[in-house]
Amino acid sequence: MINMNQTIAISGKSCVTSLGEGVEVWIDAILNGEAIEPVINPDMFQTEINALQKGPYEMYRVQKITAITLLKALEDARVKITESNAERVSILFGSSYEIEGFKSDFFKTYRKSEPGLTSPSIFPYTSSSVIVSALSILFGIRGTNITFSNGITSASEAIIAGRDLLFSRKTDVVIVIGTNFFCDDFDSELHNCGFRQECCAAIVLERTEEAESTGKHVYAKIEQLHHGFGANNRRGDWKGCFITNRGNSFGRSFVKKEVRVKPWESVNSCVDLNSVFGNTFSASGVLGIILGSLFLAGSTVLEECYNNIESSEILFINEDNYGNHTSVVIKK
Amino acid sequence: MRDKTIVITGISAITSLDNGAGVDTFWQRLCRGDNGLNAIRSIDVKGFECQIGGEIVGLEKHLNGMVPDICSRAVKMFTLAVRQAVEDAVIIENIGKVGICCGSVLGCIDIEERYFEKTFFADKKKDRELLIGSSIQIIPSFAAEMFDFKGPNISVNTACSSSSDAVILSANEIRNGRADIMLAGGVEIFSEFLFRGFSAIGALTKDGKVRPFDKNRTGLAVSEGAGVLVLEEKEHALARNAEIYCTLAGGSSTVDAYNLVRPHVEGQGLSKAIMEALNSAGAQPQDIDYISAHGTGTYHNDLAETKAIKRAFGKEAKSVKISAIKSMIGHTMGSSAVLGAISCVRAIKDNIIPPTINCETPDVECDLNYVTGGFCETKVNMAMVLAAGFGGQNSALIFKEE
Repeated sequence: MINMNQTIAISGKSCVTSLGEGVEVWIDAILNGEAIEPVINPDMFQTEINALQKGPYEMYRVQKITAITLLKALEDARVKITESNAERVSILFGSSYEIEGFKSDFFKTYRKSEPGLTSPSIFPYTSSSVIVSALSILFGIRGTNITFSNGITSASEAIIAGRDLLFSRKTDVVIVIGTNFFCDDFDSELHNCGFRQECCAAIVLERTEEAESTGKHVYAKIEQLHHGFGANNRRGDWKGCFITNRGNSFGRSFVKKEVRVKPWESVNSCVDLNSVFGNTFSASGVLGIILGSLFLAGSTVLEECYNNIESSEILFINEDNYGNHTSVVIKK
Repeated sequence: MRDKTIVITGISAITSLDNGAGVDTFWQRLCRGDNGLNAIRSIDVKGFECQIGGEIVGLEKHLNGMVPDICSRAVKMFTLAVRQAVEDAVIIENIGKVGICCGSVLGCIDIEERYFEKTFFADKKKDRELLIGSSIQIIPSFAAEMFDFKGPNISVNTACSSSSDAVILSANEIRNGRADIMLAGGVEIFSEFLFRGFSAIGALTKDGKVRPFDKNRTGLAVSEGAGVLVLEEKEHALARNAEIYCTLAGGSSTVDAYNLVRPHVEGQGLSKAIMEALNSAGAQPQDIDYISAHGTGTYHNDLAETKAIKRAFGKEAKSVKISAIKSMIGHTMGSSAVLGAISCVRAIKDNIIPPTINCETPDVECDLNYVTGGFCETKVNMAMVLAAGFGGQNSALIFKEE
């Protein structure tokens, strides 16, 4: 059983948008009212992609962006994948609809009816798990791979599982990746529910004592994690800063029972992830943590929008419209 | 998997062998060596070499309107499996914090097919309701809502290892105090999408039979199925006088990082999963009495799995009894591992190992102790289920007599 007093360290982070890498760049552009291209063009990382490219087939766009995000996170955490640590590094992936384009392409091909009209090269990509499998092959990472398809809370679920993996000593490094990609097949739906820009975000997690003993920069520590369904399992006495992500993925609740947070009167400050970035879907679980770690580090990126976001600990609540919710406490 | 002892207190299986009638029917027909694969009815397969699949017939009569028609067949099948597991484990109100974890590869693909059809071919309009209904997390969420589970609610995809990983994640939820009871399992529905996909990669059987480990194997059959294990801490189960089937003694999952479609040629990742599972169970190879193999009946899987067992079991590899239930129920993808796990649980309970049917001509490269020609009555103290999937996902779970 995990000692609940133990913490895990966030030793690396990355966030790729159409503006390049970095959450601060993105926030600055939002605050400056810049017109931000919603879709990421991976060509801006062409040099790095060329270095990563293996084999004769060009990677798909989704692969390129997730690979760059993973690469940047590993570099930031100073984690180098070698033969000796490959089995001790794990990737946990939060994904909801990243492979829908592959699915619709495959459908459109076979819908033409002839048995021969199918695409053996696209079919494997119609399973969301294959994105992280492709990353494993590309980087030679042989630890645990799991793809969580929990909608908006996907990456938060991945963080909870990552903590278990670290403390069971099954793995030494966990990279949690959350994605939010545009998809032509339901573009109008995406815009209806607050999509603004694509992003792919990652955090690197390690056991705190090991990260600190190797002199790594620790952005923040994850102290508490909870998740549940249809019930308020959050701490009602929280006095610090909140970051919330209230799911509105499709603009309505599927379940009948409403799950709602308590009124905010007693709260020092509440930052709503949606109001900052728009709906970031499966990336939100990672983005909330990155944003929180920026606040904990004294970043003033959102100073003009919120008061009192300076705090020594932050509670990040993520919930979707199906009734799932997760809560994570991060500390300096 | 130490510290807290995790036990199995409920099981359910829905496959083309039982057509939703319950796990006892599934087990009886499995042990009898019945063939659950039939001519495909739900889609037009004219012109395809493969004409068979494992479709569940008459599912609706078991549902009794429990799930709205508008919902995906995946939601219906999984909810039925959850209900049967809830009944088997006698999960009642105020029993503690109950969570759910579901593994699936394509989830609500039937709804998505309808969405694509409408968007691209029929009226070329995007249907919001269909889109909402295609989200994979609806599957466990619907069941959680129906049975008022307040604990963790997780939807996971690790290809054909999905439901094994659901079991491992669920055990962690209990072990780390986030749930008292977890319902762990998986679901996959038969669809044209899946059939076409496996046809495209040339993996489907061409002779109307699935022949794991047989020299004349021609491929797998696409099937549908759902299965659930009820996991619970032993003390919690004892405190409520629950019937305990067996203990979840160990488990592990690994990746090959080798190929997106094929397993590692030497079965490296799978053998590592086996060894890690043995280690987590505190067991030796000679302790395992039965392996419920992944056994898809494809050349690459059969060879890699045989090599993985040899690598992990050493000289014990030829002693352990192995069977492949996919010879009878076909490949149920995201739910295949949990259905194999259920065969382990029942093997321990009844001391019977189900057979591998259609394995008639020995393959010199697959030279292990496969149970063929009928079931095998033997003492089963410890059993292991293996799973391997696209992307090099591997898993092994070990169950032990309580």
